[in-house]
Formats: sequence, structure tokens, C-alpha cells
Amino acid sequence: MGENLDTLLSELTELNENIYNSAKQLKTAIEAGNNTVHITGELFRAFHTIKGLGGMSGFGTLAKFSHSVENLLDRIRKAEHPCTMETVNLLILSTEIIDIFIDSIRAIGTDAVENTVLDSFHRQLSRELETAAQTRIDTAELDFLSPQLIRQLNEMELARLKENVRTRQNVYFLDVSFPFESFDTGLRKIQDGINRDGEIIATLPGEDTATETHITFKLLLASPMSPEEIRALAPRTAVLTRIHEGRPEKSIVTGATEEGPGQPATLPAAPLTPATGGRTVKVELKELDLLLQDMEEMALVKNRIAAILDPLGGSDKIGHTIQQAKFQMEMLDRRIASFQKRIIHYRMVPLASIFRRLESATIRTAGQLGKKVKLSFDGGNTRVDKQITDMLVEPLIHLLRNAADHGIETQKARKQAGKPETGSIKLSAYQQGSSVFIEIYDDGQGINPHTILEKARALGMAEEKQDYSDNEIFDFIFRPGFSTSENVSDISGRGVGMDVVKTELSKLGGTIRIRTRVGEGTHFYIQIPVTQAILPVFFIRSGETVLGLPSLFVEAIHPYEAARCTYVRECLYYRLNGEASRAIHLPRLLKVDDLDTEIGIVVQIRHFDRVFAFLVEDVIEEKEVTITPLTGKLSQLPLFSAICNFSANSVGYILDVPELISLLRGSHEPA
Amino acid sequence: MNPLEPILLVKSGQSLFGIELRYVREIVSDFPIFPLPAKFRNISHLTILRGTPYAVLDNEYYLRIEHKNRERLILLIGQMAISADEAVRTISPEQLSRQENKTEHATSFIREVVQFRNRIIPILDIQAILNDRPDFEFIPT
Repeated sequence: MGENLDTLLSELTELNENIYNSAKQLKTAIEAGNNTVHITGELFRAFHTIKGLGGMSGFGTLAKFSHSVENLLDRIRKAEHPCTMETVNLLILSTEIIDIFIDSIRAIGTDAVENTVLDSFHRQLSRELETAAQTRIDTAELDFLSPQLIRQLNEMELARLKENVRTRQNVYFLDVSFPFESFDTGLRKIQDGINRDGEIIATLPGEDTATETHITFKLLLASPMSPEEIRALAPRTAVLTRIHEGRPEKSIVTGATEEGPGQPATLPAAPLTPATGGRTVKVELKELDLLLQDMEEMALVKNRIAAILDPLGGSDKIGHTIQQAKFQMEMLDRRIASFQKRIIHYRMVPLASIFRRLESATIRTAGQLGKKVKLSFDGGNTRVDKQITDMLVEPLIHLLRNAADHGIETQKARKQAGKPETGSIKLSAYQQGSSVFIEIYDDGQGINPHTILEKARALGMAEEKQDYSDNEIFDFIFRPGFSTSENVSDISGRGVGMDVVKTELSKLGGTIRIRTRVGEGTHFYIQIPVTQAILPVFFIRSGETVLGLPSLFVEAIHPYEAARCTYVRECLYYRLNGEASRAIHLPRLLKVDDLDTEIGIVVQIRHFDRVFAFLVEDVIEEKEVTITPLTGKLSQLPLFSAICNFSANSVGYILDVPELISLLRGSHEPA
Repeated sequence: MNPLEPILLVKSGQSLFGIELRYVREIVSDFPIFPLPAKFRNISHLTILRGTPYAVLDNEYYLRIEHKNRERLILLIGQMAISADEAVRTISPEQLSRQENKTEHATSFIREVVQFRNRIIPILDIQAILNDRPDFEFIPT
């Protein structure tokens, strides 16, 4: 791919991210009844830039698409069209389409997007433009201004004034006088203060003519701030006159928001122009991977040198030199570890970076189904490895679309059930140790385990006469080919999806569980590692090899007591804290069990609400390690997901605990 | 029948075998070798080259070669590695003649048998090896 194309894609991606962020700010501003002019202005400029970039690079379809959104934003700017939640939805949907453009340009070098996608968007856009035609305000309604002043305002200023009157903002004149040498900074201070959630509609010449030392202005402004707050922005000599009364003014509230405590509730939109010329460089993720790989190789070589030096020593001069070399090796070890941690840190991005794609997909699905859905996010600041966040997008979209499709009922059904017409879907994320937990819950109809079991039996997945616990029944949902939907649609019913969700999460070293209550809703719990590149593990000796058991699953470690073992229907159990937990004799499972094998330790594993006992020979140590995923033929090895350095003569094999437990659950475990 | 391709003649213990040259990505002499965590019939070890792990094929399983000493070379074939003592030489197709009877070397991983001078050389079926999955039966304890 050419460098120019790389730059273009990078700019488009950044602009698209900014559009999404501004759309979210727009939503907040609309909800709070604040002025939206600055945000729509920034959005207008972003689409205008994309149009320009598309046009210059020969991507006419992209340019035409951007122009259509730019047109809507221009009408909003000129107060010819109201700024509503529907506008916000259209903007979020447009970011999804820009993503498709970006993917297409990256993959095949052209801006080929399916006509059905564009047509559907344009239909919604046209509907919005037609149905929300602005009720124009006659200039007669601006009778608080003298005709002479109205004549001084240009078309845009007049439109903005009308819009502020329509949205019941307080309108003021602020007469200010500044010394010539500092009028620009004085004006900027007022602009910055007013623009926070109001606007300066026009800057007119002051009524007093300029003196030799001062210049005067008459600012026409709209703001929800109190007159005292406005006066505080201006010089003491300034005169503030309210010329139109809107809603009662309010103080700017500062409080805890997702951005952090103490931030203004609504901030002006972030600048949309891509940052250039700063003291940063962009680095591809694969370059960081290569650095990590190099560092791993270096650690391996260091281990080999350490193994050579290890048996050497003595009190003579050579022995002293070897001691020094060993000391330097330890220093090198620390430097390598520090370097690895730093690289890992660079890979971390906030989960909010993928919320845009999740939201647009959910809005689209709800729109197609004619359902009212309110989607909210929490914990967007939770940081996760970039590679993991990228791979999370599809599974999460699938879960959210499923929630909108299967979970949330129709408006009629919700009304009958005594629920609000608008269904609620919430995604929240938080970090705990080296894991990130993502929960998705809806207040829909829930999942009936009897329906699932019936379908599983009909599909031959469940035994006719066997009893199943609810957890086991919900596990059928994640089996390939399972679907309860009678109708096949674009959204669901093809029996593909939930198994893919589970498989994709497993690839990330993650797991998923369901909790549901009929009539109340469904709750998905996802646990993923913060990063796939570095992992705290317990090293376990197993025959000639060393295994790594990810610490996130380890609840406790106990000495082994043979008397606690018991067999139930040929399945091994181990009594932990008075309860029999399903046990795995690891050497026997891996077929490295021989006469020398002696179980010495029991590792208590927690997988959501269930406890398992892993019987092992010995636990060596707990350590944070850089892991390398198994690829190619090695990826076919069951039960292992990655390797890591352990010593000069040994690598550690990272056990795929969720996979192991899943196999165990599917192995005719007694209910 | 497909025309013959250039091969790399490889020696392991006393046995000779051929690998179609287009599959050989690299030949490495200094390589660390690590045991596997479980017993698999078709993969004997794991090696790490420039930070990337590769499965080392079990020659006994694929080639019926029993060889007790550690081999000195690793041939990288895609994402897997074949161990050997010596990469003898490359041979052009004109120097090879097809042998109809391959029963002596019959395994499903021998693509065909050729004659080079007076030696019979089995040629590995790399695609079949790539498609061969590790056998590991999950038997819960």
C-alpha cells in the first residue's frame, strides 16, 4: 500500500473517531438543552474535510456520501433544521459507513460500498430532512431588536439568533471596551467562556466610536449562564443587557462524568483537525509486536548465556569475573522486563475506542426491527490491548444485536408487560487484576431454559432423558448450529453466531457466561485478559515440561491429600472446602503420567461460579511472562494457547483453561 | 500426472528423502529444541527461531525413520520444521525418474518415489503433512 494511501486512511480513521466523539457530545448537549452550534460546526468541518480528501484522492462515492451529511449539518448550522436525537443517530450510522469505506479502500483500493447500505442511509437522511422541516421564525418574532440592528446581521447570524430564540436561550448584548494592544486576548477570554455552552452570535462595532487608546464592541450572545457569570468574563466597565428572556439561566455545573471528576458537564467539541506536527509518531501494532519478539529472542539468548555461566564460579580472578558477568546478566534481565512492560503499555487503548462501532451497529439493528432501544456504555476508560479490542468488536456487536433482536421486546409487548416502551441495553467494563470484565445486560424478555433445552433436544444436541442444570442448558446456545429463531434474517436465525462469539473470545483467552430471568432480561458476563502479550502465570511442573496456568483462574493452592479424591460415575472429584469439585489429574490428561509421577499440589481454579481442582506434581513459581501465541501446526495442539520463556532448556506451555473446562463440561459430566 | 519438481535431498541417519524445493523456506543449523507438554504421535518437539515457535515433525511417524541422535539441521517448511542431519544437494527434475512401485516407502505422507542415480528417494507429501492434525484424545480423568 502506498504511503499516501496509508496517510489518507489514517486521517479518515482519526476524523471518523472525532465525528463519533462529537456525536456523543451532541447527544449530551441535546439532552441537557445546551447550545449545539459549536459541535455541529466541528462536525460540518469534519465531513467537509472528508469530502475534500475523498475528492482529491479519486474516491468520488466517499466524497458524495460526505457531502450529503455535510448538507444536513449545514442546514442545522443555519438553523434551517433542528438538531435532534435522530441527527445524532444518523451521525453515528454515518461513522459505520465511513468505516466500510475505509475497509474497502484498505482492502481493494476503491471506495466500493454496497448500494443497499448507502441507499438505506440516504432514505433515512431524506426522511429526516422531510419530516423535521423547520418551522421558520419570522423576523417579526425578533421584535426585541431594532430593525436597524437586524439589518446589520448577515444571514447566518440571523439564523443563529432565531435558533437560540426557538430553543429558549437568554439573549444579551455585551458592550465591551478594550485597549488596542490587548483587545484580542480580552475578546478570546469572553469567547472561550461563552462558547462553553452558548455562543456569540455576532460581534458588532460598539456604539461609542474608538478612542485613541480603546476599541469598543457590541457582542450579541446567547447563553444559559447567569448575568454574573457572563460579567465575570468581561472587563469591569462592560455593560450587559438582556434583550430576550429564555429559560431561567443556570450555573455551569461541574461534576463527575466519565471523563473524570471536576470536568465541565458539557465541553466544547474536541478539535477535529487531525493533529499534525506534534511530538508524536504513529507506529503500527505489528512493529510493536516485532519489538516484543526481538526482546523475547534476547531473553532466550540471555537464558542460554545464564545457563552456561551457572555452573561456573570459583574464588580466583576468573571466578570473580564470572560473578560480575552473572550480576550484569541480572541487570540485563531487569532491563528486558522493563522494556517489555513499556511496550505492553503502548499497546493499551481505552475500550471506548470501539464503542462507536458497537453503537452504530446496535442503532441500525434496532432501526431495522422498529424497536426503541437506549444503549448506554460505562467504563470506556478501561484500557485493553489494542489487538484484543480490535478482536472484541465482532463478538460484542453480535451480542448487542442479539440483545436488540431477541432480548428487547416489541413496543407493544413491553407495554403489555408494564415496561417502558424503550428497551435498555447497557455495556459496562471494568478491570480486576489482569482481567477485564465486560457485562452486557438488557431489560428484555430473558431466555427460557425450557425452550433452549427443547430446541437442543430437537437438534440432537441434548440427550432426551438426561437432566441438565441451567448452566449446562445455556451452554447449548454456544454450540455450532444452535438457534431458536424460526425465521432466518440478516440479523439472526441462521444458527451461526453465538458459537463464533465463544470461539473468538476463547482465542483471546476469554470466557463468557449467561445469567437470565424470564421477563426481566439477560446478562452476559465476559472475562478477557488485559493483554495477550503479557500474562501472570503459575508455573507448574509436568513430567519433563513446564506448564503455565494463567493466574486469573487460580483461586488457591493446597497440598494434595489423596483421601479427598473420590470418583462419581468414572469422574474424578476432589473435596475442597467441604464440597466435591470436579478434578483433573493433569499428568494423566496429558499422558505424561508414569510411575515417577507423584501428585503434590492441588490448584483451585475458579471459572465464573464453578470451582475445579487441578491435580499437579509441583507449583514452581508465579511470574509475569511475555507470551507468544501458537500458530501454524502448533495452533492445532489442543489445550494450549501460547508459550513463554521459562529457562534456557525449557519453555512454558500456557494452558487454555476455558477450553479445558469446556471439554470437561462436555464430557458427560453428571448434572 | 504432475511433472516432477526440483527437490532438496535430505539425509537423516542412514535414510535419504526428498522435499520439493518450493516448500523449503530456510535451513537452520543452530536451533534450540524443547520437549512438548503432552505426547503427540506426529510432533516430536518445539523449536523457537527468531521468537517464533515451530512444531518439529516426528520423523518416525512421517518417514518411518528411527534416529536416536539429535539432528543437526532444521528445515523450515511453512509454519513447521523438519529435522535432519544433512541437506545433501538440490536435484533438478531431469535427473529424477519416477518409480511406479512405492510400496516399500508406503505411508500416506510420501507423495511419490523417484530414482536418482542408483538411489530410491521418497518425496514427502508436504500438503498431506500440513493437513495432518495432531491426534490428542481428550480423556477426562
